Amino acid sequence: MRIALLTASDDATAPRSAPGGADWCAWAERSLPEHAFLHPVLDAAPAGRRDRAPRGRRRARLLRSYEALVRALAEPRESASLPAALYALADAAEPPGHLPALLRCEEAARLLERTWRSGSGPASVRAPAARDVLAASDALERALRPLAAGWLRDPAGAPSADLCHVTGGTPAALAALLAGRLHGVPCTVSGHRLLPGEPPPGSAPGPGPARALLLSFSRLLAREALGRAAVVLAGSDHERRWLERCGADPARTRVLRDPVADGPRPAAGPEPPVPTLLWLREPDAVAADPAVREAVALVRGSFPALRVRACAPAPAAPAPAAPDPAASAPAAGGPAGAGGVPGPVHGAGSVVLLPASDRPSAGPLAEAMLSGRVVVAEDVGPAREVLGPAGVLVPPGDPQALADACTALLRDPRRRARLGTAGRRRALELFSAETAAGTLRRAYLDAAARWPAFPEAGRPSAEPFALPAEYRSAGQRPAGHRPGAGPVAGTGRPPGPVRGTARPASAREPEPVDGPDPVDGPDPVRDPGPVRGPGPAVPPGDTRPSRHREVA
Amino acid sequence: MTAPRPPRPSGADPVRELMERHRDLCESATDPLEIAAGLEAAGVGPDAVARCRHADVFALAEELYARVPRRTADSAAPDAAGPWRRRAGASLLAAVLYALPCAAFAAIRAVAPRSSPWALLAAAAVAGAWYAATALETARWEGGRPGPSAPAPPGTGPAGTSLRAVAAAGVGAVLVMPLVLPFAGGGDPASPATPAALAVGMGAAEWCARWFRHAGRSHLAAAAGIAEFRRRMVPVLPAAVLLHLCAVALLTAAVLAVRPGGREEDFGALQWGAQGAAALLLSLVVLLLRCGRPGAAAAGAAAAAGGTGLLLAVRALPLALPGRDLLAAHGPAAVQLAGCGAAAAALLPWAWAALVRPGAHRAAPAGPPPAPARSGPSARTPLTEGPTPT
Repeated sequence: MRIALLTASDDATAPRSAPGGADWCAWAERSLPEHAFLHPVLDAAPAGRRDRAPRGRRRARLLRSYEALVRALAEPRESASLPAALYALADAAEPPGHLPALLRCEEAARLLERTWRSGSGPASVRAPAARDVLAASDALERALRPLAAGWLRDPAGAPSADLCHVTGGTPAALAALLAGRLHGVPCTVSGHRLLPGEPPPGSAPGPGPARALLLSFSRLLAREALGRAAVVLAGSDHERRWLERCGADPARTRVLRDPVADGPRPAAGPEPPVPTLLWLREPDAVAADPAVREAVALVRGSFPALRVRACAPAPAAPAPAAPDPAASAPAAGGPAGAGGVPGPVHGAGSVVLLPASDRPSAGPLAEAMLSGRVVVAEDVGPAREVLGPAGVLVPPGDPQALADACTALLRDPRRRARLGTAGRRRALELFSAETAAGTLRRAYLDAAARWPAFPEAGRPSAEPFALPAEYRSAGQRPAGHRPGAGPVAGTGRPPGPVRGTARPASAREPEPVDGPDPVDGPDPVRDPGPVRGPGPAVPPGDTRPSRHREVA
Repeated sequence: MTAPRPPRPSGADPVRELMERHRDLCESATDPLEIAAGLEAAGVGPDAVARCRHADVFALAEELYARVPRRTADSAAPDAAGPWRRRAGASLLAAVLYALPCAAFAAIRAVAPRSSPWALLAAAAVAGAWYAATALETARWEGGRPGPSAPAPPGTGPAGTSLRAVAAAGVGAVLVMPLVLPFAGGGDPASPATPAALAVGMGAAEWCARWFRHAGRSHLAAAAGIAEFRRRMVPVLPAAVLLHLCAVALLTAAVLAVRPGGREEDFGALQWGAQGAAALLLSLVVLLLRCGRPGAAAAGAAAAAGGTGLLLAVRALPLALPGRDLLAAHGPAAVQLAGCGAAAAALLPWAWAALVRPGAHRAAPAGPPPAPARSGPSARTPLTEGPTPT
C-alpha cells in the first residue's frame, strides 16, 4: 500500500521516537518494507497577491459555510455541525488561493465577529475585542490552510494514496479528513498530538477569547478525526483512555507503543562509585520542581556524598555504532561519562529519577528502563502501566515519599540491580520493535480491508469485505489505476523488520542477569567517594558532555 | 510497586482545595478534557483523584468544570514599549537622510554657479536614486519584514517586495520633481531650498506614520468590535495627513524666511499648491507602505510620477494638445500641482477605505520564532544549588 504519513511542519518539536518523528518514520520504512511511505507537504502557501476572493454565488456559499463553522465553534449546541461546515468549505474551495483570500477580507471578519458574539459557549463568555477578532480570523485562516493544500487535489497526491496515517496534530487530521471526504482514502490516526493538552494549531493567539475559539476548533476537529478513523493507535493504555474520551471508538482503538527498543540497546555498565541520582527533567522547565529539590535535600541528609545530575530525557541515538561507552569509559568520571561518544546517558546515575513533566509520555520512561538502572517515577500519566512492578512509583508532589524511595534504593544495591534488570526486561518486551511492527502492519491491513472510512465516496473498496486485504498489499491494480503501486511486493522479502546494518559484535553482550555484577562496585554508603564540589569543567563547545550538570 | 505512604489527613472538601489551586485553569477551560489535561500536567495522580472520591481524572475534571464559572482571560497587554517610543530618533535620522541630496545640490551650485544644466540634471538623477533608496530603507524600519510564521500582513511576500520598490522609486521621483521642473521652464534653475523643505518633511511623514500605527494598534486593543474600531479610526488618518502638511508648510515658510536673497515673490500660490499636493501624496504613500498596502502605494506614486511626466511632455512638445495653453500660461509648478494633485486626490479615498480596516493594523511579524528549546544544552537552565538539608 501507499501510506501517506501526515505530519504538518509545525510538529517538528515532536520527539523523534514518537509516531511522526524522524526515528519513527525510519523505523516504519525499515520494518514494513511491503508498504511505501509518502511524506506529503500539507502546508498550502498563504494567499498571494494575485489570489482574489471569489465573487457572486461562490462567495456567498463559502461565507455561509464559514459562518456555520464559526457557529459550531461558538455555540455548543451546534458543535455537531462542524464537520458538515468543514466539508462544505472544502467542496467550495476549489481554486486553492480563493479561500485564504476570502478569509482575509473584512466581510469574513465581520461575519466571524457577529457569529461569535451570538454564541453562548465558553469562547463567547467575554465579548471579543477588535484585536481578538483579528487574531481569531488570522488563526482560523491559518488553521484552514490544509483545505487548500495542493496535495489534496493533485492526482499524484491524496488520490494516489491508499491510506493516510495521521501522525501530526490538527492540520494533519484536517488533511486526512479531507482526503477521505474527497477521495475516499481511509485513515489511521496516531492520536498523541490530538489530545487536549497539545497547543492549538497554528500560531496560538495567546490568552483570551481567540484562544478559546481555537481550542474549540482543535477539540472538535480531533473528535471528528478520531471518530472517522479506521484504526486509532494510542501510545499507551493511558493515552488510549484519553483518546476514547476524545471521541475514538473503543472497538477501533489499539495500543501501539513507540518502538524504543529498536536496534541494539545494551544495558548501561557498572554504576558510579558515588551514589548518584540522575534527574531527568524537561530542558525548558525553568523553575525546577520544588518537590524534587526538597526530596534531594532529604536524601542528602542520609547520603552526604550524594551527587545529583540533571539531564534532559532526550532519546539516545537509535542505533549507536559504537560499543557501549559506559562499559569502556570510566563511568565514575565527571559529567563527561560518555566522553563525547553518543550513547545512553542513564548509566551516569545509580538511580534514575523521573518526576512528573508537563507532558507525561512513555518515551523517556522506556529509555530509562532500557538502560538497566532502577527508575523512580511519579505516578502520573503512563508511568504506572509502563513501570509496572519493575520500578518504584511515588505519588506526585510528595517529597517525603520520593526521598524515602531513593534512600531505600541507595541503601540496597541488590534491590537496585534486581529492579533495574526487571525494568530492562519489561521495557524490552513492552517497547519491542517487532511487536510494534506487527501491530502497525495489522492496523494498516485492517484499515484497508475492513473499515473504509468514507463508504459514500465511491471507491472500489467502498463495501466492507468487497476486496481482501491482499488486494492492496499485493500491488495488483485494475488496468489504468496505477501500476507498480507496491514497490517491493513480490520480491519475496520476508515481512519482518530489517535488522540494523551496523551492529557491532560487542553490542551483543548478554543481558545482565539478576545478580550483583552490575552494581557490585564500592558500597555507596560506606565509600565516601570524591569530595563534594563542582565536577570537572565542561568544555563550552562540546554539547554532549554538558548534558550532565552537577547540582552540588 | 508503590512506596508505602502514611495516609494523609484530608481536608473538608478536597475538590474545593483543588479548585482553588487550579482556578485559572478551570475558568479558562472550554471543555472538561482541558481541565483533565491540566490536572495531569500539574501532577494530580490517581491517589489525589481517589481522595476526591472520583473514579478517574475525567470525572473530577467534569465536576470542576461544572462548579467553576467560565471566564476567559484578558488578552495580552498592548506592547507599550513598541516603536512608538523610538519614533523621534528614527524620524530625525530619516529627515537627515532625505536632506542630504539637497545639501549636495546646494553645494554644487555654490561651488560652481555656472555649471551646465546637464550636470545639474545628472545630479538630480543621483538625488532621486538616493531618495528612492532612503524610502525603501525607512519602509523596512518598522514592520513589513517577511516572517516565516503567519499571520504575516499582506504585502510582505516577494510580490510585496517589488511593489515596495516601485513605490519607493515613485517617492524618489516625486521628491526630485521640484528640482528638475525649473529646467523645463527654460529659466534659471530654482534654488533647492523649497525642495529641501519637502524632502526634510519626509522625516515628519515618518513620524506621522509611526504615530498612525501606534494609534491603530491601541485602538485595536481597546475597541469592542470592528465597527467601533472603524469609528475610532475615522479622525486618525486626516490628523496624520494634516500633521505632515503642517510640518511641510512650516518648513517651507522657514526656508523662505531665511533664504539668502529673499525672492519671496516667485513662490506664489501656485508653488504653495504644488508643494502641498506633493506633500499630501508622499504622506499617503508612506502611510500605505507602513500599513502593508504596497500595491496602492506603488500605484499612487507611479501615477503621480507618470502623470507629471506626461503633462510635462504635453507642455514641452510643440503640438496642439488640449490644455497645453493652460499649462504653458503658468510656470512649471502647475505641472507638478496637476500631476501630484490628481494622483493624491485619487489615492485619498482609497487610503481612507483601506486604512480604517482592522486588517491594516496587524502587528508586524516579529522575526523567526524562537528555536525549540529541546535540543542543545544552551537552552537549559543551570542548576546551581540544591536546597540545604532541613
